[in-house]
Formats: sequence, structure tokens, C-alpha cells
Amino acid sequence: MRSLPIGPEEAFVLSRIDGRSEVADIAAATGLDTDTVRGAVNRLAELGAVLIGAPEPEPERLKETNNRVVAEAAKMRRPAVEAPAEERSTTHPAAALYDPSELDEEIELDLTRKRMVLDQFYRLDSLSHYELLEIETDADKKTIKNAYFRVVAIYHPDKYFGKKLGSFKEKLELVFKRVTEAHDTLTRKKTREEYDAYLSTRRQTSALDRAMHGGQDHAAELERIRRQIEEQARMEERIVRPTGPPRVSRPPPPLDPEARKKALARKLRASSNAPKKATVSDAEKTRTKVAAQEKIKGDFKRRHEERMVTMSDRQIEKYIAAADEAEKNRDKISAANALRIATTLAPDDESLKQRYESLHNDVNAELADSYFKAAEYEERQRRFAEAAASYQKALRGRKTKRGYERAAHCILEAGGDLREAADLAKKAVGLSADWPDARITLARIYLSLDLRKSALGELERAAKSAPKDDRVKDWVKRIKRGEV
Amino acid sequence: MERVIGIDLGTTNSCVGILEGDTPTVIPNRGGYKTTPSMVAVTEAGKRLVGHIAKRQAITNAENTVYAQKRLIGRKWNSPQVKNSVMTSSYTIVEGPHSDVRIELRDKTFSVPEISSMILQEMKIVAEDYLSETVSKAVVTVPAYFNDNQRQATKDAGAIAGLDVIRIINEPTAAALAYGFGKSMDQTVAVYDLGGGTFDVSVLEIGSHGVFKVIATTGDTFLGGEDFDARVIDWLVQGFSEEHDIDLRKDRMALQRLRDAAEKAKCELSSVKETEINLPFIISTGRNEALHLQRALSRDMLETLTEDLCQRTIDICKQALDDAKLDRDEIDEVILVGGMTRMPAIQKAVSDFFGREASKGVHPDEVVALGAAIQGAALVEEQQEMILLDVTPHALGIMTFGSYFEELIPQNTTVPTSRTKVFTTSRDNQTAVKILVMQGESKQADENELLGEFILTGLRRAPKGEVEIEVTFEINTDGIVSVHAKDLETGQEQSIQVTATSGLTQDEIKAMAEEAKDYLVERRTDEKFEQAKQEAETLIAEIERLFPDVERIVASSDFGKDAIGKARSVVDKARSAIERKDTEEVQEHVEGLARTQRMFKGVVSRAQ
Repeated sequence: MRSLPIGPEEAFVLSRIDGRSEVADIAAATGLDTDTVRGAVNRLAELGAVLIGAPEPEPERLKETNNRVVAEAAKMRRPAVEAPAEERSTTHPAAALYDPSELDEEIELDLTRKRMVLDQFYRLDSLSHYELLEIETDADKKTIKNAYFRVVAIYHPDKYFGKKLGSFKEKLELVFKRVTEAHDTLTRKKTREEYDAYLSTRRQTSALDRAMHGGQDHAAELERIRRQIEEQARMEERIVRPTGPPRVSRPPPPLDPEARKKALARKLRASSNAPKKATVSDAEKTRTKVAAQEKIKGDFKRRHEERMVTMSDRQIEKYIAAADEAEKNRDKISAANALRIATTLAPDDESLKQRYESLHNDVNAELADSYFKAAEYEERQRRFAEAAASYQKALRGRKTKRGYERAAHCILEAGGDLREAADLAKKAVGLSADWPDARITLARIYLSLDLRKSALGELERAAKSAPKDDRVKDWVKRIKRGEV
Repeated sequence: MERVIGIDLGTTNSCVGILEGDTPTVIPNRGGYKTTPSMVAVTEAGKRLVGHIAKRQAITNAENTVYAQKRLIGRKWNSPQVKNSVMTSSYTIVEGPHSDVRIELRDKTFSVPEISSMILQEMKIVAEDYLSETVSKAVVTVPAYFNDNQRQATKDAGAIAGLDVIRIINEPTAAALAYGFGKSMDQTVAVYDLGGGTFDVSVLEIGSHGVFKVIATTGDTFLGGEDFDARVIDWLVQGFSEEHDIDLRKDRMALQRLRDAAEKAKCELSSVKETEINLPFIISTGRNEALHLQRALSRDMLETLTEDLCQRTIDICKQALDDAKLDRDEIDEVILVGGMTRMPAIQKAVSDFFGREASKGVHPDEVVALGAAIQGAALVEEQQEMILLDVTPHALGIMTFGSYFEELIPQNTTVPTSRTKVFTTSRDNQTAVKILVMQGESKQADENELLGEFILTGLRRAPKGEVEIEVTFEINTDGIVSVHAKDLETGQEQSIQVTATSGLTQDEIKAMAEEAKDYLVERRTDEKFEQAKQEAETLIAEIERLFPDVERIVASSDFGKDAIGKARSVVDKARSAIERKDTEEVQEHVEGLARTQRMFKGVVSRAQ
């Protein structure tokens, strides 16, 4: 490790890497800004001193090896310290995608190939055309073609001509069709523009979604800001100090709050050890001492709090300004983000809260609209699994009967979780008991679950509320005749 | 691993190839020719002749000699192309039992796939002789513009010939495979394929990882060298009629001679500026007087006669580029395929159009068979790095209300593929829909080819347009089309696998295959006899040549006299066996003849 060409800044950063801290934490711990930290981490990763990856799921072991470099590996993964580019890139590990018993099918393909086919097949619905071809979104035609040829040379069914392929033949063909669709879409100007527009909407939608409903990274952001405020408050203290009584060789304030408390206690002890007035009785002396101590403590606390408030106010102002600016630029995501932080910092500011909530509702509605549009596009493209997911996301922002019904319908079409579909259809029915479409969809789901009686019951209720609906009549007739 | 041969089943000539190691090779036939005429004849004795042998006797047996049967394969009796062939062919074309086309030879009727199967079988035997092993798998090429029925008929021909046709590929595609095989390149190529009877243009990308991707393919299944010949025949017939007021077309033998002469003149004019057409005793008049045909044809005249045909091919090239959405300057290479591309006027038109000289690297007559052989090897041999991505040459769709054609899979879609569209009912209370699966480019359904049909019943009675039916077309890697129709309300489904029809039933194909086998046994014995005969005759000729010398040298001794007597007797016995066509006896004598020949040679060389 010593032999590595590391500068002091990187060494400092390295000393604070414990395998769990994110860039924001390290920045807070080192007092460096996040960009500097990120740069240092990347350089360290390049040198192989650290491995950047998803947070390790073994906190116990990592605690023991605190400050230890996680691993020396040359392999770079997507840095976890960066916010995920898109929701969909956080695909589940391949192993969980399918039943491993599928690998046991007795066909003339070796295990590696089987695995390859299944991995690709079960990820088809979650990959964008670019991800499927493993190319950048700005790839030129030639790159797209080469990528396509590379994939085709692996997945074209002719590669396995005359072999017993069982269920894998259809899977290979489907992979091939999807790869070809990706190639055809991306190599034609018009279709690529349409697709890029769809992807961009999707990306914005999910960014918006994260901004509005983001969990962890949001909390981390807030924590980072809190620390920043504290840090700035302390810095302010230091700047103010020289105007006060001169002090000698004071050690710099430790970063850790615990250590800071100890330092404060030392300081307080030192002042209590000051020469005392002889006339005062011991008890009185003690009282005075305690009072003085309390006063100093109080003063210190007050001063600190005041500074914190000032700093916090400055931060709030900064975020409000950022929100104003973002709103002016019609960047609702950033505006909502900034306001959210501002309201958290100033929980008592009612007008700020109202402004945030109104923007929040606004964005949520917009988000629901976007998801609806995406869902409809996906449904048209017959990508029902994706459509179902999009409808469900749209429902978070706008709970409509149609949304519930379509979501249920798409799950049914995609061959998804029928219980979930039934729950959604029930909600659609709940919102509008007289709307036959919801009941028909629910009935179809019941039929797929082999719940003939429930289906019939649902249709009969639909018939009651919409006696003229031919579809309902037809369904009832069909079920009674045992045709379905 | 059993080897797969590649067969270019051409309109006028056929060719067979194989991949030997990494070298695609054309297999010559017994006559040493790399191509075999696609001709079949039945002799008076009922013997079947295929290839050169059939061609040689075509004039004297015009009515029983079939040529260009490829123009008829997979077509319906009532199609205009068949009508045209009925008018111009020297053999008799009749309607078959399934409104298909049959050909009458002597007193027997043959289906078109059966005629094709005889040629395929010939090519199979050529390959088996060369490889000294049986061959049962083949990749056969067809014009890119062939529809599914024509392709199926070609497959059936293979089945009758005892060949498992593992894949049908398009001729221009095959040419591109042969052109790009084993080379690492990144090119867009145009293949101009003007054969005996069909014309195709394909545009392909040859890319990394051995992938060949067809971008667009188009053509005309009734435009080829035969049409150029026909122009020359017309010119000759017209000239003759002006001079003698006699229509030569009415005489089948004269017509066959004209055909031969026209083709010959056309080929000659590719290298010379002028040629003489000389057909003495072309026809006899009623007054027992024979007339002769003698005319000079210049290259310029030929070009004038066929100018519009040449232009038609260039129009189709334009279409191909439009379909591929490419400009002329985006084509890196032009490949010429088919004997017709030797014609200077064609070469000039093509290079003028594409703005570049065509590739000199491929042999126009052999390249298709080589490509077929390459595809065959790529399919069965795992180590071959080659993937062909072909397209549907015709759009696929269904007939909708008002007899319109609604396309589901557009022309030039990469296969395997699947497409879905939603349709609605067209009448009130319609409870069933008939799905008519069609292939073609016309907006009018009846102008397209019907591939199959089925009915989806049990629809809900409703005003028109309310019930939705989802129709899905699917083409798998083997080119099999399946169609599903689904009632979106009930989820009820109906589907068919569209089996293109060659005009033959499975039973008929089976029976024909059995018959072909019988013929093969007969032919095999013939062949053995021919071989033994040839060997024996060669030896006899050698012995006869040496006889005078040997007699001169050894006649003085008794031993010599005895030896000469024995030699005479062996030769006589062999001759008699040949006369009696006794294969086994001829084979037995071959050994004796060889011994005699060795002895004679020894005597002569010692004496010198």
C-alpha cells in the first residue's frame, strides 16, 4: 500500500474509507468537498487500492475491519457512491430471475449456454434497447450494427441447428427477435428518435419519482447537509475567536461530536481549576462554581445554537433560492428536491411547507401522467409486464379506476401474479362499482385462477349495474355454457 | 458428421457444391462439366434422361424433353405465367388434379416437383460419386422472389429425390455468402442475379462475427435469359415468316432448333460482334421441298431487341435500393450472378447504374452452389463462424373487408419474427371471422397468393367494429409461418400452421419418392454396366492396337500363337458380353483383358 503513488489528499480520504461510507459521509469526515472526495476515490479505485461497489451486506465483518481497504481489485464496477442512473439499472441478480430447475432441461446445450440464454431471456423485459445491445445511448450506426452482429452470433437459433433445444428454441428466437427489434429501432432515424423520446420521458419520470419519493439517498443528502451546517458553524466559531480573549496553542476541534464533548469538558475543567476567592465559603464556592460553569456551558451552547441557526438559515435561504431558480428553469425535480430539504431544515415554516406541498402535488400529478403515457406506450408495444409496472406507478400519484383496471389487465396479459392483479381489479371495482370493465377484468382474473363461481358472481353484479352491457351478458352465457 | 451438399437448381443449368475443409468446391459431373443442364427427357423406350444427355437429344425428341420447368414450379394452372408457358413450350403442359401443373411425357404425366426431383437426384449422384459416400442432406437455392408455395414445391422435389432439404436459401444471398465467406469485411454489397428464368436483386451487409444480413431483396420470377432468347426467336420467326410466309412456331422440332440456335447466338455475341445463325432444312413445305434459315445477328441488333428487358432489371435495382433505404454510393461492391451477366450490355448497364465495375472475384455460374454449400456446412458444423440473417421476400397479411390486403409482416423483415395487429368485426352480429392468410405486395387481396385459411368462431353478437380480434403472424427460423387469432374479449384462440402447398399431397410425394427409388436402382445397374463397358472397351482398343506388333514378334513361336489365340478369345467373349449387356460378365472379363493388355505391352517393350 505504501508503494502506491498516493497524494496526501487521497491518503486522507483512504483513511476514512471503511467500506460503508458514501462520498457524502467521507466529505463530512474529511472536510473536503464532495467532488474532491469523488475524484480521490476514483483515483484510488484506479490504483486498485479500493473496490467501489454496492454496499457490502456484511456489516459485522466490516466493522471489525474498519478503515481497512475492502479489497484490492482492478475491476471497476459502477460506483455506488453515485446515485443510480436509472431505476431499471438496479436489476435483480440473475439467479433470482428464474427457477434454477430450468437449467435441468435435458437438451443439447451445455450449462454455460443454458445459463446465458436464461439470463438474457428473463432480463428482456427490463432492458432498454441500448442495454440489450450493451452500447452507449449515443452510439452511432456502425457501433449499433457491430453490437447487433456480436449478439446475433451468439443467440441466433441457427447457431444450434439440428440440436435438441426444447423450450430453449423459443427462448432463443425471442431473444433474437428482441435484439433485432432493438437494432431495427435504433438504426432508423425516425424510430430511434421516437424511442429516445420515450426513454427520456421514462428517465425523467423516474428521476422525478426518486426526487419525490426517494428513500435512502435523500436521507443521506439531508445528513450531509446537517453535517455541513455544523461544520460551517464551527468554522464560524474559529473565525470569531481571535476577537475574543487570546488563547494559546489550542488544538484544532476534533471532528467527532464525542471527542468534541470531551474537549469541551477538558476546557470546562480547566476553567474550574482557576484560582478561587478565599472569602467565599466552600459551599458557596461550589455553588458559584457550578453557576459559573452552567453559565459558560449555557453561553457556549447558546452561541453554538445561534450559529447553527444562522448557518441553517443561510442553508434554507440557499435552498429556497435554488428552488426559485429551478422553478424558473421549469426544472421541477430540482425545485421539489430543494424545497423538500428546505422544509426539513425549517419544519415550522408553514408557507414553505405549503409551497412544497403544492409543488409536490403538482409533480406527483405530472409523474402519474408520465407513467400513464409510458404505460400506454408499453401496452401498445405489447410489453405487458412493463406496462403493468408503469400503471402501478401511475397509481401512486393518481388513483383512478382505469389505472387499476389497466394494471390488472396488463398483469393478466403478462402472465404475472394473478392475486396482485385481482387486488388491483378489486380496487377498480371499489372506486366505481357500476363500471362493468373493472368487473369483467376481475372476472377474467378469477377465471384464470379457476375461480369460476367468483367470476360468475362478479359478472352478475356487473349485469345488475349495467344491464345493457352485451359483453357482460355474453360472458355470463359463456361461463354458464362452460365454454370458458 | 454427415456432409451437406449445396445445390443451385437453376432454370437452365444446375450446379452442386460442397465445403471441403474451408474451401467451397464445385463438383464436376461425369462429363467433367461443372454445371448440368436442367433438362429431363423420356426416350421412346421409356428411359429417363437427365442433363447433358437430355439436352443432346432435345431436338429429335422435343415433345418429350422438359426444360425450364422451374418457371412452372409451385404455380397454379390458371396463373398467367403458366398460360404463357403452355403457349411457348415444346412439351405438353396439362392441368393437375389440385389445379396445379403437370407435364406429359410419352404416356405418363409428371408433376413439376417430380421433374425437378430428377435433376436434384442427378446432382445428388454427381456429389456421391465425387465424395464416395451417400449424401442425404442438401441446401437448395431458389430465386429470392419465390413465394412460399414455390419454396415448398422445391422442398417436395428434394423429398422425392430422397434428399432432406435442410434449408432453402435465396440465390443472391448464396452468392453473397460465397463472396464474403472466410473474409473479414465490413461491406454493403448488391447482388445482381440474372439467371435463365428469374431475376433477383439483393442488398446485404457483410459484417463482423461472420454475420450476413440481407437488407432488401426484390426481383421478377419471370425475367431471365429465356426471355432474351425469346426475343431472338421472335426475330428469327418473324423474318422467316416475311420471307416464306411460314410460321415456324407451329413445328415443335423447328421451334426447339430455333431455341438452341438463339441461345447459342446470344452467348456467342458476348464475345464476338456478329454471328451467323444457320439452320438448314428447318422446315419442309408441302411440296416436298426443304427450307433453310440463314441469318446474321449482330451484337447491336441483339441489344436493340432486348433493350427493354435490360432496362427492367435496372428498374428493379432501383427498387431494391429504395427498399434498403440506401443510396448508390453506399454500395461497396456489386456481384454479378448468372450466365446472362456475361452479356456486355448488361455489364455496362449495371456498372452505369451503380457507378462502379462489378466484382471479378466470383464465377457467375458456380457462386450460388458454393454459397449453398457454405450455408449447409455452417448449419451442421459447429466450428463454422457464419450466420445468415435473411428476410421475408414478400409481405404477409390477411384479407380484410372489401377484399383488401392488410399487411402484418412487411416485405424485407428479418426472420424469425412475429407481428400482431388488432382487427374488428365488419358486420353487425358477426359471430365468426375467416382469416385468409396471404402473401404478396398488392393492396388488392385477390392479386396476392393465398397461403391458407381458418375460421375463428364464437364471437359475441355485437354491432360491427365492437368485437376485437387480435391476429399474430409468426415466422420461425425454418421459415414456417404460423398464424394465431384471438378473440380479445373471451381470450378464445384459433391458430394454424400455414403449410404452403406445392400442389402435391403428402401421399403423392411418398409415392413419387418410391418410384424415384425404383428408377434409381435401375439406373444404378445401368451405371455399373456403363462403367464396366467403358473399361472393357478401353482395354480392347489398346489390345487391338498392339495386336499387329505382338503378332509380328511372337507369331513364330507356338507359345506365342497360343497366347494370341487366347487373347482373341478374351476379346471376343468380352465383346459378346457387352452386346448382351451382361454387367457381371463384362466385369469378369475386364480382369482378363487387363492381363492380356499388360502382357502385350510387355512383349512390345521387350522387343524394342
